[in-house]
Amino acid sequence: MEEKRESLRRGDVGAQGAVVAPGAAVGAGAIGVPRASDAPAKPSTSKPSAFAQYRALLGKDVRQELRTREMLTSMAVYSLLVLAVYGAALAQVGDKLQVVSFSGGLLWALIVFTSLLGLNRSFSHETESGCLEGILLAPVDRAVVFLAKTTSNLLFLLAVELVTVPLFFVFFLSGAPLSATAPMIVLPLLVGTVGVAGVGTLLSTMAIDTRGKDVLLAILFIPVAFPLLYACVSATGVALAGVEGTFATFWRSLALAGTYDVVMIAAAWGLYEFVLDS
Amino acid sequence: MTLKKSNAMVPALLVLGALLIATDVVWTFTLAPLVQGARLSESVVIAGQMVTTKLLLSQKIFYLHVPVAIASFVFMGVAAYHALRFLVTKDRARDVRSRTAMQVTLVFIVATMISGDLWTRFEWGVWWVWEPRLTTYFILMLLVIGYFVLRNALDDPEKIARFAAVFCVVSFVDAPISFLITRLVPSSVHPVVFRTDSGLPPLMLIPFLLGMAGVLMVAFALYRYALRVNAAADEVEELKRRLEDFDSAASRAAAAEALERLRTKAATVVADGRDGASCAAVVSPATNEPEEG
Repeated sequence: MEEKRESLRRGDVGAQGAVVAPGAAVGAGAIGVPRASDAPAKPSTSKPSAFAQYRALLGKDVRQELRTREMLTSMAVYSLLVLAVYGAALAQVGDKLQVVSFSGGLLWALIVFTSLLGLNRSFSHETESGCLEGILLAPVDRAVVFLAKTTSNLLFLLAVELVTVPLFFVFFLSGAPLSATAPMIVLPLLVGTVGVAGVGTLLSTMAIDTRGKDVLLAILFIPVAFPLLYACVSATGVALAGVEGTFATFWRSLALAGTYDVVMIAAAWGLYEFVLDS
Repeated sequence: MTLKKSNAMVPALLVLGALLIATDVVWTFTLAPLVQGARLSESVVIAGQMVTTKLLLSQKIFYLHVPVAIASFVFMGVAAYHALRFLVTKDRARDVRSRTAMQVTLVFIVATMISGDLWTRFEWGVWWVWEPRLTTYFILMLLVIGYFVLRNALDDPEKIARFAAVFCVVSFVDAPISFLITRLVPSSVHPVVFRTDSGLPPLMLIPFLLGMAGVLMVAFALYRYALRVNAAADEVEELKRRLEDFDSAASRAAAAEALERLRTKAATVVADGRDGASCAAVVSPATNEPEEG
């Protein structure tokens, strides 16, 4: 029933007809809808543009997540649990402790562990329903698959951060006087999340076929993402502390994180075809 | 041909490297001057000289620690180069080279970590500090360990080679970061050694360079030996697999042949049975037999 509706809607979406059809066939093949029911999926000679393919793949990921909410709920609940663990860890330190001085590190530890969980989940339903084979069978450039997957992972990570970062402030920083520069943490959060999504997509694609994939992703991901983490923690810490004259460090760390993003995403983009190609 | 010739040179290289390292160590403890360390509260007489600073004997680790660390960077570069070449050519020999270079890297990284830890302990009184160079080098070690964990977590040899090559290239990005971090983030702990005005007097620079050359030679000899071992191990695996295939094919053929023989036998027996109905009772168990087989 659900699948039927999906295919109908995709028919509606396909206003451009043949342009979107092969992209739609990717999604349809993945959930096992017979091609015959898909009206615009007639074999067409014109190849859809890379952007149309990208949009179709991204749409499939977002739609799947909105239906199952598998990744988002597990990440949100997990981040709540990490916050509870922080609460236990900091319960005995008393009021004298300057939480602001290391809250940047705490926040990034939360983000890294939550992202690890989400990245693990992001590919598991692709393999469970044979979706990945469907995507690989379609004549789609591997770089497009990488970009679509990275974008969807980025969207989900940002959505979860939208919930967890305010919660973090409520739980740990509500008593402390916040500096005027505190809103600047949005910048390292954004740059850091882009890098996490890019590197994480490459590594989680490698980890899906391995034994003990959950542990393996952590073993591969944490050292590779370490420079980014280091730079982001430093930038976030400076923004939260808001001491006059330390903002040179903020911009330098942000530049380092940005460079890491560019280098790593370029490398991942170039290497992705070797990871998917099977 | 050239491979044979260079293989013959490997033991010589190993011996020469060991000699150079020995020279380095002897020079270090005899000719190279002690480094001035922390300022003392009062001047003391050491070896007939009036000094006001503490002389650091532990600095002698430098002459081995740094060459070993540089060798680990060099071999990680070799590994990444062969990994890239593997991805382009899909030549399995490249994968063996990349893996071997990674093994040598791991050995040298562990040696660097141990010597560095000893130095840290004697110089600063702590086993570990989260200083930029130490941190990035620690991460480099985790990356190399992760590389081998990844190799062991996969089954298909072709996929192992492909994924390992990708991870090797990605992790190599950290090596230049670690190497250059003393230039980017000024740190009093790890001075920039490679520069035209290194600040080292000749009596200290010469043994360092001797040790550098010696360690690189030993590392290369190790790499060649490990390469031979790994290539032989891979060949054995391949032969084992082919032998198993051959074995199963042979046993399948034997089984098919036996089945065929039984069928023909059954057919003749059935034909005989039609001729003489009196024999039917004796024959019937024999006719059933090939059906079950």
